[in-house]
Amino acid sequence: MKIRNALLGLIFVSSWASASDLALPEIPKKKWDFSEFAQTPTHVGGRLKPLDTFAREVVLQLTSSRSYKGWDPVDFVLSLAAHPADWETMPIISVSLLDVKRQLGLEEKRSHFSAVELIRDSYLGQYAQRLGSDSKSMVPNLSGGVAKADPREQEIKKILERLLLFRSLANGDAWTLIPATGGHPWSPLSDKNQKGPEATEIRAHFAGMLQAYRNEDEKTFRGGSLHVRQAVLKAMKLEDPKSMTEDLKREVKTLGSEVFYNRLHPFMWGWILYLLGAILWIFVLVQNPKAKAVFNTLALSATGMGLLAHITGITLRCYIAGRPPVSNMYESIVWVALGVMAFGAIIYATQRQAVLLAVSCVLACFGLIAADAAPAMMDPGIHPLVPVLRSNYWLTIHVLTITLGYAAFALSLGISNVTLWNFLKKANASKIAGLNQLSYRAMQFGVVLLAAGTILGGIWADASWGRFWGWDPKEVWALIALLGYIAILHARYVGWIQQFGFAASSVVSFMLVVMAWYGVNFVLGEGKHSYGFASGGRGPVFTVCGLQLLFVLWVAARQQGWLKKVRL
Amino acid sequence: MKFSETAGKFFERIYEILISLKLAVITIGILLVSLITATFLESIYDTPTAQYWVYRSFWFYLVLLCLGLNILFVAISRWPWKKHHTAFLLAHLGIMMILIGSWITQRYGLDGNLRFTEGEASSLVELSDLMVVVADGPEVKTFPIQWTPPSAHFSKVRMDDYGLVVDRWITHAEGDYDFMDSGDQTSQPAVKIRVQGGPMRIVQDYWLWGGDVNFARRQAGPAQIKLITEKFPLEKEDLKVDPKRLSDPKAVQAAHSASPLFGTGKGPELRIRLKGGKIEAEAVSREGKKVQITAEPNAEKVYETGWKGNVTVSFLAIVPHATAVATYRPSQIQYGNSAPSSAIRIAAQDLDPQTTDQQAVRSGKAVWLGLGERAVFKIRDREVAMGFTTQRVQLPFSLKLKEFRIDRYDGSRDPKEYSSFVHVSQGQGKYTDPIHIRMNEPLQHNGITFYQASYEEGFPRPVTSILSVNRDPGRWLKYWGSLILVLGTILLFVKKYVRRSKA
Repeated sequence: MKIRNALLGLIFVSSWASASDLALPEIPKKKWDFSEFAQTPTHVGGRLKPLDTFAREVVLQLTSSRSYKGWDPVDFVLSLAAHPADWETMPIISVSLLDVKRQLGLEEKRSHFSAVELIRDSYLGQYAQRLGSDSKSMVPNLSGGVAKADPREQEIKKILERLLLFRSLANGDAWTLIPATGGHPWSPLSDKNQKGPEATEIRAHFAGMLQAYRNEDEKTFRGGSLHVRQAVLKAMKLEDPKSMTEDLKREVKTLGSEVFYNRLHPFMWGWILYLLGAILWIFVLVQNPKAKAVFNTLALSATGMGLLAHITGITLRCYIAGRPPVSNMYESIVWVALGVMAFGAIIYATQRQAVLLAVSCVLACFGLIAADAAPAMMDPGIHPLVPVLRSNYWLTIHVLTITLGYAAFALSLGISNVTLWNFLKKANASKIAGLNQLSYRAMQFGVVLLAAGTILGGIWADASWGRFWGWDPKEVWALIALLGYIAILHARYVGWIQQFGFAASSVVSFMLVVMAWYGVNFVLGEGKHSYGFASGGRGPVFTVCGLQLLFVLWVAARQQGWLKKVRL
Repeated sequence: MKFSETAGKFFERIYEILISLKLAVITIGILLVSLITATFLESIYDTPTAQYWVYRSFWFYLVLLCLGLNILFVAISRWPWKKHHTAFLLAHLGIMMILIGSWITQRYGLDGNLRFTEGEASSLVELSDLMVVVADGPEVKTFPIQWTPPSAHFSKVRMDDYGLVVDRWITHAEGDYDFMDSGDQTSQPAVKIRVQGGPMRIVQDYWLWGGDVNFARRQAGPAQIKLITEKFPLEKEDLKVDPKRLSDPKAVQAAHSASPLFGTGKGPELRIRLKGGKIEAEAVSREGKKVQITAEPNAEKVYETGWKGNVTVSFLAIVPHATAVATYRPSQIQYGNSAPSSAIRIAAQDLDPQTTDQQAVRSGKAVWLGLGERAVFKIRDREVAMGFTTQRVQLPFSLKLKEFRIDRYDGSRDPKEYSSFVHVSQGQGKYTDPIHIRMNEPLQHNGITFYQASYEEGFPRPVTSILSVNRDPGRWLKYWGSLILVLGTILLFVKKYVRRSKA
């Protein structure tokens, strides 16, 4: 309903038909200091957050990328609100699926389109009408997960939501700045039922500020934005204990930290430093002994600084969200990357082998880049939890244990890749045995943690769903991965697999972990762990896995002399 | 002599196989392949299908048994046990305990749902297994029916005492109802009408029947059609109906207690009364304008209703004493949550296999039953009632729902937390003080655990809570087994590490 109304209401502009093909003048950035306004609390998506976060979410939702042409996100949303007619013809709305572009009569090469271009074809309007009449499809399912649907349909829904968002920034629907009063939840500026003095004051200040923004009057704008923030805080009645829940108390305290976290972007620093570290470690590994000491120190400090950024990021995120950071794919990748570093560092502490930290840095860097690279697929936002996860105690124990298990397996995978590389280079047996020993050690960590984590999951499931084990796909895949590794350990124990077999199977069995971790949520999309479900990313994930398997095959072929036989 | 020698060799060979690592690796391999297959089956089709083909299939139990025996015999083969066997033995013991515990749970445990609405007391636990209940005078018999996916062969269930057989099964069935003369003067009347018009110029036929609420009150778009009888007089509060199924008494009760979605805005109404072969109808428009119609069954004659969109009605047939005849066909939707429930056909054992379904049903040689429906058979001058239901277990005490509470994230419909306040019966109509059952905080009573599992969405708020009811005699085995397994695994690795670093 909402979407349909919004779409019909989108026709609020006169310059509709003419604009899109002309060369567009850039809309100027303001480049002012928005830090004051950025900290204004707003309540969107089930939690209190600073406007800065809201603005970033808007940018991400509209454009499917982290930033738009270097705009400060707060500047961007203000500009959208102040000059909607100018933005209507700007290509800012992301459309990614080729089928959908064809359906809407859009240019296939472009990735972003203007609102005007999207509305030109009547298909979207008809679709929105259908959505409005068929209210059933708008009902979320019980577990809070996303029901499986045609990706084209999902994409069209997303486009409609983007259009709705675009419009609601201009008409005030998106600016949820009027705090909850007397059982009435937070409401947008446009809510006509909010007639109290506080609401009127917030509205007046906001309008004044926006006018100053239009007039390019920086001084008035700054004064106005300060007033908006103060008015919102005043209306929240922070001193009144009745209006403050535990969650809200924490969220008010962390507003500043969240803006800091957003602007710092710690995980980006993390991967940059890890990358530097990885390169330096590789120098350590290949250099002659003389220069080794210098590179060693440099590499250690780069790794340490990367770790510092990484830990800072995770700590801030924990503090802001008030829970351990393992509730979605983005958080779990970031966490597993830290786990890899931790295991690498622990084993390094006892064995003093540079290769450990080299591998850890490469893996952690890869993980953080993967998490950072696809914000549209892996939502980096902090979101409230579905009911069954609202048990911090279990979330911490079960999920952290499992993901640490993944981290240990990832380390084992990394080391085994180095082993395979050494096989290619015909390195001596003792070096290979040493590497395998490290990989074996990591795998042991993994088996214990994954077994314990799976069982803890069973105990949690027993406590909240009423059964210890129910052959749920996520459970089953954890078991599959575990059985795979147990098979390897047994085969190694009785000598069925030797050095090469162990390294190869360590790499291959990590594919089971990928399936348990990514596949169940993104490919199968079935079962009780539905709160983590999403779609997308199959291409890159399958490509990386495929390349990895090809590498194993290639080394195996060289090692076992398969290619020679063929030639003969 | 010779025989015992061969036998001895044979057992020795079996023993060798049982303690071999080859068997372990092969079993694990089979297990891996079947588990992977099962998860994909579940993703492509649905959970029951995966359970039918893998998790609850006979051969899957065999694979698990094989694994269990392998682990047991490997442990035995190390006899006499030494100190350095501890870790290995613990790990294997743990796995065996988990396997046995799971088997006990499966065999002797209870796992079902209890669904109740605020103010209602219930002791009925619904399981997922299906059955046919036969009430033959005071005697009650049950025949389990195996849930079978659409693609699989349904094995017939013979009920020899009655000369009947459950011969057909539709996993996800949609019913077509027809009404014919029952030959019984006490049966309720039925009338078939045709409604045409509205913005879409739709033509649709409806059967109305006084024998069941779902057919005495029918929804035609925004309009409600009512057959007014003694049993369902006009004054009776509007009922929520599901025209896809005949109702069982419990469903009628539920309809009485909760009708939040429909009946808020009042649409147009057609009220039909039957008087001696004639129809006296009254069409009431949304604005309250009334049109009186008197008619006899005649498909040609069309009457105006005075509703918006030039809606007309005609009366096709009257059956003064009618009984419902249902036939079922596979639904369009065959997988997932929105697929309808199943149906079975009960037929006479001497039914000629050449007879079509239509003929068999018309001649009374076969009866279709949707899940939750029952029918009465006349067998050798006795009346035998048969119902197709889910298996149910009666608890020795009952729970009464005082209040269902749901908390949503601000500004959204997403639930943050939901919970139930429940009284437990203590005999002689007495109940305990309310107990709060919430997510991750179940209620334990008499060895049975009640969990907050789900709820039925309602307007303005949900009032029906669904608890998961569970008794798990294998639980302690599984818990101890898990602990021992993890301990054993850790020891196994630590020990090796210590040994290696010394060397």
